[in-house]
Amino acid sequence: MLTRDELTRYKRQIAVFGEEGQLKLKQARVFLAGAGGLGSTIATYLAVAGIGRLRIADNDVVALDNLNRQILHWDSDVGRRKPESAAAKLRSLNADIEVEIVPETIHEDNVAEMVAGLDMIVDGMDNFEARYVLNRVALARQIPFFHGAIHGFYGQATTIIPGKTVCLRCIFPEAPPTVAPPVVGVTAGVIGCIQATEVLKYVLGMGQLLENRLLMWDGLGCRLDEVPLEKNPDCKDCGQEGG
Amino acid sequence: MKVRVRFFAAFKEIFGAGEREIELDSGASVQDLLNILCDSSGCRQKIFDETGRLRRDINMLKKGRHIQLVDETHSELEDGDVITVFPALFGG
Repeated sequence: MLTRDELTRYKRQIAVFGEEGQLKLKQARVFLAGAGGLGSTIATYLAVAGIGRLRIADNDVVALDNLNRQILHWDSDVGRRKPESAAAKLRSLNADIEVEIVPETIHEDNVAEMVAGLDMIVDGMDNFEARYVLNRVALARQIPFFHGAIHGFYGQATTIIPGKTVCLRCIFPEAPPTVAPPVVGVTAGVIGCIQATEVLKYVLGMGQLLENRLLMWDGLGCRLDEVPLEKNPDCKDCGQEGG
Repeated sequence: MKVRVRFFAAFKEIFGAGEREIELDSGASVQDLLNILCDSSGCRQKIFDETGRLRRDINMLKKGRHIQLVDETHSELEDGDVITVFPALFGG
């Protein structure tokens, strides 16, 4: 049931998907891995859309060189834990939603507990080792995994539905070397918004998801292309699931 | 036969185009295609590692499947194939 305030707050989007859709968003439980550049954009738009429960995991503290792209962290937050900084802003944006924080690094041993009770995983990570951990837990729990990544003016995104689509490992069998990539803040905005859009569509059951397609954003050419993908039977992570 | 190669992100700059159509002999492999595409030592350094193998941070898809998982670069090409070359972006 939506409150009177919620009906007012979300009036302009209820016009798009109805009160029933808004209720679905309120009941949705999302795990956001990372409160960095992508994570800031994703969390902001999921919070204002009225996603009912958002659990954010990140073990970093805010640094000055994060501020060109991580829009939930401000000058006064330098030195503060990122999930705390992010949660404070999100609660100010929308006091009606529940924001939980997990100030821990994501790894194989703790990820199952982190995502317990949640319906989907959104990728705001900055390395492939953690993404593979999330990919595997999404496959094991049969919940969707919304991937995004950025570099400079370039970005990519895809939506992984276990049993139905390729998994992250089908597309990227080996982790690229982890070095601090150059990133322009607007790219995190573009790709984070695409990921948040996918989450909303999934929850609402609207439109066509980015299934078996890798969306490639070229900010320099201002071009959005897509690469068709096929599930790989020999994939290390999903090859045996028979999906 | 002809194959179409699509380049994304930094590979557009390395290969100087977003897309190229390449004429190949029948039975040519992905490795043959790479040899034609990488026509300078600078380009080869960006595509192959020190052992001459395709660098692991470069992704190539043939018919939507990763070439590493199909048959490495020995994979035989067919007329009309579309090959996609893109990096694994990892920033967040």
